[in-house]
Amino acid sequence: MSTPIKTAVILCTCSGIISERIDWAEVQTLLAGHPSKPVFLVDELACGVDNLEHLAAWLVQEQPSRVVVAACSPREHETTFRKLLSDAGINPWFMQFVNVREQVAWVTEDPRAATAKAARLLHAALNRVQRHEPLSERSVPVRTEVAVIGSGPAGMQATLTLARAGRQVTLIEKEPVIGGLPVRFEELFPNLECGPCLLEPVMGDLLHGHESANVNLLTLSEVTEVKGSFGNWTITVKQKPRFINPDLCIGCMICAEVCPERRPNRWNGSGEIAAVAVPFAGTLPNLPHIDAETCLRLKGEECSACLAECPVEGSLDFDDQEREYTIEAGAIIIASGAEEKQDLPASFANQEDVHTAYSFERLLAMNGPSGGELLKADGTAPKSLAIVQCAGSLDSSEVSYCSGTCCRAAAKYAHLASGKVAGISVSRLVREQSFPGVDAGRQFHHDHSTVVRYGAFSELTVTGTESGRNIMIDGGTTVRADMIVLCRPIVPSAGTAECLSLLDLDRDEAGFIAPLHSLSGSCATTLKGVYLAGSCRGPGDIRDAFATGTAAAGLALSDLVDGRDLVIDPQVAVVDATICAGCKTCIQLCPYKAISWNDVEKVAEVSDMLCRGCGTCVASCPSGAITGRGFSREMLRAELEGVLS
Amino acid sequence: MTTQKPKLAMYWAASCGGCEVSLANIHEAILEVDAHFDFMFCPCLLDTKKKDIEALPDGDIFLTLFNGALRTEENLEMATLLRRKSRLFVAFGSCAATGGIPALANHHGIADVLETAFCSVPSIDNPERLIPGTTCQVPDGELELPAFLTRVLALHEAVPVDYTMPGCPPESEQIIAVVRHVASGAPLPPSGAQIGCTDRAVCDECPREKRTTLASRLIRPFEALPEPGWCLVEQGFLCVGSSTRGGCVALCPTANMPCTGCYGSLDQSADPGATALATLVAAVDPGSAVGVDETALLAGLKDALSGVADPLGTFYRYSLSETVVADRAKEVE
Repeated sequence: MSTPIKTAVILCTCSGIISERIDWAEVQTLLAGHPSKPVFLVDELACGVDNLEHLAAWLVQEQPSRVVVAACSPREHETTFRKLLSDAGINPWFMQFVNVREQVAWVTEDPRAATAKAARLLHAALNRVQRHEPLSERSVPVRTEVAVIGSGPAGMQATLTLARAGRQVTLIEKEPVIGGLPVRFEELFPNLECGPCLLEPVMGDLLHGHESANVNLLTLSEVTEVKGSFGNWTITVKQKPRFINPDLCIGCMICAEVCPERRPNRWNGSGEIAAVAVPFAGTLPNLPHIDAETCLRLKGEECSACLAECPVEGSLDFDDQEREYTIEAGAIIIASGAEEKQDLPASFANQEDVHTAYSFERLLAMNGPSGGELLKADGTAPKSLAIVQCAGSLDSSEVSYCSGTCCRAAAKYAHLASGKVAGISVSRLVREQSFPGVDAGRQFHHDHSTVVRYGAFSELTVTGTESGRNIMIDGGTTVRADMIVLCRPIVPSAGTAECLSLLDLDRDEAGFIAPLHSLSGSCATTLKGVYLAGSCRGPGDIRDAFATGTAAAGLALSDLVDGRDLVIDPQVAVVDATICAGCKTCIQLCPYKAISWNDVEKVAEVSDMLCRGCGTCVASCPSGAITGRGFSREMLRAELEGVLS
Repeated sequence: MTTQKPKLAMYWAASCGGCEVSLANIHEAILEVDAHFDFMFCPCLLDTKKKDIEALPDGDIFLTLFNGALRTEENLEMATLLRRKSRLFVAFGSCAATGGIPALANHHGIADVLETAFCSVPSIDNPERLIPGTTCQVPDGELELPAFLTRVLALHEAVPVDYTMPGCPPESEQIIAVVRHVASGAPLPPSGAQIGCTDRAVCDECPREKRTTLASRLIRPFEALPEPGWCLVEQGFLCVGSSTRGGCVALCPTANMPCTGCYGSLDQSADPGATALATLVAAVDPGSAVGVDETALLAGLKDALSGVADPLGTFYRYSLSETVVADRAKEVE
């Protein structure tokens, strides 16, 4: 140490809890020879209000340049003593806090060893604090806008809740239509309410209600990059061209009627639609979209079928381009949902009249491929329907969990099928059953189906006979199965997987987004300013979706308050531009995307707003060009030398 | 012939002679050296003797460029002597600066080093297993050889050093620049400074471009031909240029060879090998660990890092005398 700086040391007894093990008088003797010539004050309970006043007076009298406090965990009282320094007119970062309670008094039983250990830790702190630099906090306003990813019931509910509170919301949806999955379902369990009827008012408010002024809806859009942190996210969104001008199109759908080209209708899971079309009748926003890979004109061929018939000139916009938006928001709500597991096991694949739960929902829907009639591929009604539940669930070889919604959906299918085809025999093949909730109890007791238990999904085989098709269980029981519905496990959607990687969020064992806490924080994540709604959190029903949409909006509202600034900790990483050689190591490693590349100076730059002071870049910088403010190499080395001296 | 020109000396201790070759590589600029200095001591080139140096008053040599590490008692004796006789004493080259290649021997015991050098290396034929000792009887009497020091030392570990000029060897252009600077009478840098180099890493001078991609595993130079213009690290070659002081105009990476770190570590407060190791984090992405079982994860990591055939010789090639991991002798393992 070249020039020792006067250092005051506050030694707290914590009402005897610390001094029971540590002999502060002995520590003072051991440290008396330290080059900084420390002045000591033993306080019975330094965090007490009166004691703090007394300590402030002592500091003012002693006029030290640095302060060391030996007390409890910094998590408990570091802030208290930073404030003490401020009150005494000393820069609060000229303090080093030593945890001698949890890390010494409570764990080192032998008083002599505890005293020696405390002396070493204080020696380290005295060494370190000489090298402290004055720092100061900085405040920045938080943005109160919110971005919502996914426009299913959860995302719509979150959006509306926020918009009604006057918040500006950007709702990002990758499909050309909003409403998520249930808008495609004719009737919803447990009470067989009409899905579109339930959701139409919600979608209507979103698109045309007075709160819609606060909503910026981006369909056909996907998030491609997220930077930033709580209060200041920057979200890059790419929007695919719709090739329809939303300001001019009146949604008459004449274009779809005259279009000569067809493509598979992936929304129905079967059938075809025109190159310019809506997925099915009644979707919102009431605008068609053009599939560039199917449309003759967009492929460079001669075709003007739609142009010739369109009643509003300019509605069809073949020059439409991909757009990129930069969305600034204080919080992000992820409502990217779940989907059924896409693959079909070999014993059920490539067979006629085998549906997944989703394609069966579409078959039941009036705007579905058969207009709501329950028909086999040959156009006749099935005589028997076998609904295979737990089809891959509760199964260690596929998905270990229960999706929790299939039983109620299957009972609904049985009910609706019986209403559509007189005399149909319906069987539900189950491994286990679950009908949670008061309303679902009615479903269970009014079930139209024969319940057949099976042991393992792999035991099921499909066998054809002259009298019709059967599902055979482990070579024994047979169940008639003209038509088969497989309730495949509910897994994270592709969008949810995308959000996980874009934001580098933790995932649970099933690949859903891990919540902050499974019980008390299920709509928040470990990343502050990112909230969860709906089944990106795990399989859930529509009630969950609406409830968690409201909850996530509530969290965003309570965390982002207009006028309540974000205080930026000065203990962040800084790059010395005179040393940085531009190897870019840090940029790839920063978990908070806080480091960017200055292409003019050819150096890396850390944003103090995004940096959390984790030190990853500091440790990884091969040039030693990055310093963790408050944790410089010199400080850490001095501290280590102190501990080892 | 006496001269009023300031005296210039160059000495080699445990070194290979490359530093002298680098000095010779300044070509006709040697005339500038002669114009400004009385180049009076350099065992490689001149016939001045130790007794001539001993006869000089203390501090009489203006500038001594001392290359080589301290391996023997003679090295130490000459370092002490030349330090005393010199006003400016420069640790010249990697060996003098941080131990260099000779200091790699610190990882082994002296007996092991002698056994390797005189008995077991493939190019040695020594059936009688003769190993030189400090004394040797010959018909005319007893011969003496200087003894090994317990460990190889960097120059600054034995005597005070005014400046350090790194490189294996220091580049000729840097030598000329330093000589011209001293000759011009311009103010000298603060004592203890690194001279003849830059404050930025080799990457700063390297013409290869970063594409911010990661290699799936590290590869050794013989395993692949590097793609021109693209950062060697990103191609999996273990180039430690990002942790190494510049000043060499990135000679090796420009010529398709990964930087081996001869200009030394930039981060003076960290362990030199550790900062070279930090290069690794910029090099390898062994893939996501999510859902991978521990055995497979370890096997994957091991494969990804298999391109580091000799970690100690890779990360501490020139700096082993500086580090806490040195001195691990086989006999104490």
